[in-house]
Amino acid sequence: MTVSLDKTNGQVEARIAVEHLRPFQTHLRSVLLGKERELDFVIACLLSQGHLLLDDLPGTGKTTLAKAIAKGLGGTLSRVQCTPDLMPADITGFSMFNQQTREFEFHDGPVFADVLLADELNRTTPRTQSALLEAMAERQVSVDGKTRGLSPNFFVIATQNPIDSHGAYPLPEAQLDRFSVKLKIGYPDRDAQRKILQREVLPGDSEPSKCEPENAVPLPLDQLRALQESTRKVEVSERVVDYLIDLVEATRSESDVELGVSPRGMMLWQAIAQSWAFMQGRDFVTPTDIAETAQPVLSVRLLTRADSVDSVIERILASVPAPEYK
Amino acid sequence: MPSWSRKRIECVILAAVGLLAIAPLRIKGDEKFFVYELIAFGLTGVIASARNKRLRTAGLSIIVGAPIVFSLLASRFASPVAPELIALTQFGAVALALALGASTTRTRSMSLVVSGFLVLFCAVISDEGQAIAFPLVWMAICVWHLIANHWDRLETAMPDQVSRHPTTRPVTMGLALAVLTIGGYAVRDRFTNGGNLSFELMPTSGGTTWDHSAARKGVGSGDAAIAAKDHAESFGAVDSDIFLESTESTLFDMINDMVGEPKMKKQKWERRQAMANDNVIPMHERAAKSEKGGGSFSTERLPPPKHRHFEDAKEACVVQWDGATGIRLAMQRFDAFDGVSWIQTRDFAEPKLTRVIIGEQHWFFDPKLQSAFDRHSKSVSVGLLKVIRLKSPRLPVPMLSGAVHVKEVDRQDFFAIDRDGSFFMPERDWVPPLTVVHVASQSLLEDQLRERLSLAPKIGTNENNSLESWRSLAHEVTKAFEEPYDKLNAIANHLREEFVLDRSVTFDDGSALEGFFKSKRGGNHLFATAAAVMADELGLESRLVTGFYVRPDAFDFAAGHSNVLPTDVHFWVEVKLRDGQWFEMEPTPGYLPPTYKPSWRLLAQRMAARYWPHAAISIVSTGCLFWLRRYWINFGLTLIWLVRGLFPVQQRLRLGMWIIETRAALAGMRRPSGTTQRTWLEGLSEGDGAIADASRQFLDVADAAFFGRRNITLREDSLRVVRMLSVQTISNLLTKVTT
Repeated sequence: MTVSLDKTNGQVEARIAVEHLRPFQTHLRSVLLGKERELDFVIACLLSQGHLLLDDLPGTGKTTLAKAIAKGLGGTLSRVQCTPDLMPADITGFSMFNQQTREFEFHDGPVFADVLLADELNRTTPRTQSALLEAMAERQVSVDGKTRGLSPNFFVIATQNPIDSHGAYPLPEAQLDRFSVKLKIGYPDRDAQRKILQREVLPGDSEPSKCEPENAVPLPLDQLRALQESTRKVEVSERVVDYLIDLVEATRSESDVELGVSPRGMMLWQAIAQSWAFMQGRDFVTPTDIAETAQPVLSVRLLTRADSVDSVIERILASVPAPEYK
Repeated sequence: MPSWSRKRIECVILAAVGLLAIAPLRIKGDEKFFVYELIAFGLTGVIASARNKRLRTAGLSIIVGAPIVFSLLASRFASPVAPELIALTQFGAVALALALGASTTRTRSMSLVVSGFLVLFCAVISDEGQAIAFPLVWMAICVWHLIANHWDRLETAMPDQVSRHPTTRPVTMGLALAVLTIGGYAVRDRFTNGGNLSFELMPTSGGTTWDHSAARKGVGSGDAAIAAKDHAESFGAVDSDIFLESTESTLFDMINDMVGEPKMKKQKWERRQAMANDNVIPMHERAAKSEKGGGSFSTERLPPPKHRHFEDAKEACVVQWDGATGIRLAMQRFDAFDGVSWIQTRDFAEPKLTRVIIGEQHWFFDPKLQSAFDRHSKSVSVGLLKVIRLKSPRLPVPMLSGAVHVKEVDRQDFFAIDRDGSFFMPERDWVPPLTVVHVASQSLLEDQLRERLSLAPKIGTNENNSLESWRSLAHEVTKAFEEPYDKLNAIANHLREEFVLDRSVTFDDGSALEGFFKSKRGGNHLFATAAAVMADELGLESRLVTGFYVRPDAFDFAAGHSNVLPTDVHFWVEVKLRDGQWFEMEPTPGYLPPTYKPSWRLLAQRMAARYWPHAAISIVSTGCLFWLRRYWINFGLTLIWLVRGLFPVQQRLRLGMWIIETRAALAGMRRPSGTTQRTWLEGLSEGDGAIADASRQFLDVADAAFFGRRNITLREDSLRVVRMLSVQTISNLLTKVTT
C-alpha cells in the first residue's frame, strides 16, 4: 500500500475486519458458483442489516443461497412457502390456550429465526405480505397486543418469480421499500455450469454421507454483529452525500419514473454503499461505491412507466455528474 | 464555490458575447471607455471566480455596479453615455454576474435568458449590418450548450440512431446553423424596412446616425435647443406666462446662464426673452392666448404661425437639400474645352420625360436611365430639394438622377432634359421659389465602375500646346496603374495632394491652366478643368460640371435639412462609362470625394489578393496543428506533468487525473460525466495488467485524498500511471478493448 494515513487505525481496522468476512464469502461462493458479484451484494446487504429480495427464474439457486447464508452464520433458518391461503399468523405466530396451565401460550412463528426465507412471496395475499412489514422494519412483531422482539440479526430473504404471474399478488410499494436490494442471480456461465455438473457426480471412492463434512461456522452471529457495527462507522464525505442526494432527486424528477426513492430508501442506499466500501477494505465511501450499488438498490424501489428499470437507472446515473477529484 | 464546469464556462462565454454585442452601439461614441469597461469586466470576472467567498462576493458586486460607475467616469472624463446604453450594459453585467455566481441550473438559465435578450435587442436596434453576427455566434454557442446539456439523455434515448463519435455534436450544430441560415434567407424579404427604427424610438432618437450628438443624448439636446433658438415657433425661446409659472426647469434653461440657480419669481418686465433684433418676427411674439372674464380663465397655446411671405424667410440659402450630405448637386455641364473656355457640343436633350405613377405620385423619368432604375431599384435613393432663391430654370440634382417628382404636379411638359443632360423646367425664367422637388438618384458600386470604365482611343482634337504639360503629367501620374478606374483615382489624388485650393489667385498672362500648373494654386474650376484634360488624355471621355456642393456641416438638426448657400458653388468632373452613364470625381482638395462602395465580393477579392500568403500559411499551420494535435498536446501535458512537484498533493493528483482524461479525449474516449473517474479509469486500463495495477494504486490514493479527508504523503510510485498512459497507449488499450 502506498498511502500512509493519518487515521491509519481506521483503515487497518477495516482491512483486518474484512479478513473475517473471507471465510463466509468463500462459503457462499462454493455454494453458488460463478456469481461472485451478486454474492458480494448479499453480504453487503447482511452487513447493512437490510433485507434481500431475489427476483429470478425457478431453479437458479435462490433457496440454496438462503440455506447457505443461514448455515454460514450458524443461525436458525425458517422457511415459509408462501401460498394464497397462508395467514398472517402463520408467519408471526399465534397464542393458543393451554388446557393444563389455563393460560394462553404464544407459539413462535417462522419470523422468530435469524434468517427467514419467504419463498415466492408474491404468491401470498397482500394481507399476509403485510404481516412482514413490522418484522422487517423494526425487528419486532406485535401479536395480541404484545410486542415481541426478533433476533437482532433478523434477515429476510424473499424470493419472487418474475414469470408465471397467474394468481400472484405484486408486492406493495411499502413492502418493496423495506428491502435493501433486489438481485437477479441469473443463469451461471458455461464454466460455472460445468463445475456444477461435475460437483453432482460423486467420486467413485467416496461415501455419500461424507461428501459434506461439518465445518466450523464461517461467520458466527456475534462476529457479524461486530462487523455490522464497524460498517456503520464508515465515513461518508460531504461531496459523496451530495452525489447521493443528486441521484435520489434525479430519480424523483425522471419522467419515466412514477415513484422515486424515498428518504428511507436513501438511508438504505447509504448503508449499502457503506458496506460496499467496508468490503473493499476502506473506511470511507467513494462515489464509485454509490454508483456501483445503484442498480440493486434502485431496482427494488423504482416504479417505472414504460422502460425497463435497468435502462432508467442507467439514464439516471448518466445524467448526474459524478464528483471528481477536485 | 461553483466549479469551472463546462456549463458554467459556456454560460460565461454566452454572457461575454452579450456584452460584446453592445460594442457596435457603444464603440463609436466612447470607444476608449467601453474598452476599459470590458477589461474591467474581465478582471473582476477573474476575482469573482476566486475560491475565497468574500473576494467572490466583492467581484460579483463590482461587476454589477461597473456600468453605473463607468458611465459616471465617462461623463466626467469623456463624452456621456446614453442612458439606454447604460441600461443595456447593466443587463450584460447582470448576465455575467449570474453566470459567474450561479450554483443552480435555474440561475444559469436566467443568465442565458438575459444575455439572449441582450444580444437580440442589440441586433434589432443596431444600424450596423454586421451586428447580426452576434446573435448568430450566440445562437451557435447556445445550441452547442443545450446539446451538451442534454446529450447524455438524448443519447440514451436514441441508442440505435446515434453513434458515439466525436463528430456527432459538431454535425448536429452544423445542421442547426444551416437551418438558421436557410430560415434567415427565407424570411429576408420581410425585413426590407428593418434597417432603422424611426427617430423617436430609442436609441436613435434625435438623429439619423450614431455620430449625431443629438442621437446619443435623446430628444431635445442642448445642440438642438441652440439650433432652434432662432425659431420662435420651436420650443427654444418660449418664455410665456404659462411656463414662467412652473418651478420646473424648462428646455430653455438648458442654454440659460441661470441653470442651477434657485428659481426666482421674475418681475413682469423681466419675463421677456431677449432676442436679437433682426431675428424678431412680429407675428411670432405671442405663443399663447389667455382670456380672463367672469368666472372663467383659459390659456390656449397658439398654433405656430407659418411663414406667410417669402421675404420673411431669413435663410440666405439658394436651395435646401434633405438627403445625403457631402455630395454635389449638378446644374450645368460642358463637354468641350478649347484651352480657354468650356462649351457644350453634344446634344443629350430629352424634351419629353416618361411619366410613371408610383403610389399615386407622378414621377418623370429620364428615358435613358429608366431601365437602369428598374434593374437596380435597390441602389436608388430619393432626396428632397427645396428651391429657395435660385435664379435659373435648371434643377440642381445629384449625379445619376433619373427621375423627379413634385407633389400634385402631373404635367409632363413641366420638366425636360436640356442639351447638356441636366434637368430643367422649360419655358420658365426660373424654378418657382419654395418648390419642393423629390429627386431619385442612383448610386454606383465600385465594381460597376471597374467593369464599365474603359479606355477609348483619344477623341479630343484640341492640340493646344498649353495643355502639353498636363498631358505629360497625366501619363506620369498614372503609369503605375493598370485599370482605368485606378488611373482616374491617381489623377484625382495627385491634384488633391499636390495642388492647393486658392480662389484668390488670378493669372493675367497666358492660359490659366498653365499658370495653375506652375503655381500649383488655383480655384476649383481649374482643378476640375485640369482633371478633365488629364482624363481626356488617357482616353476617358469627361466633362466639366457646375453646381453646388452640399457641405457635410451644412445639415441643420432642428430644421432637418442642409442649407446650400451661394458660396457653395462648385466645379467638378464627370467621366463617361461604356453604357453612356456619367459618374463624378472630385479633384479639388477640401471637398469630400464621392463614395463608390465596393461590393462584398470585391472586398473579399482584395483581401484575398492582399492576404493570401497569410491565409494560406494560417490554414496550413492550423491544419498541421489540428492534425498533429495528439503529439503536441501530449507533449505539452508531459511538460506540465514535469513540474508537478510545485503543486500540493491534492492538486497533483487532480492534475494527474486531468492529464489522463485529456489524453483519453484526444484518443477519442471522453469520460461521460455520469461515470465516476474510478470506474472509467479501471475500465480503460483493464486490458493491460501493469497499467491496471498502476491505475488502481493511483485511484486508491486519490480516493483517500479526496473522499477520505486524509492528509496523505504521496509516493512517486503511485503516480506512475500518468506517465504510462500516453495518448498512444490509450489508443492501443482502446483498440484492445474493442477487439
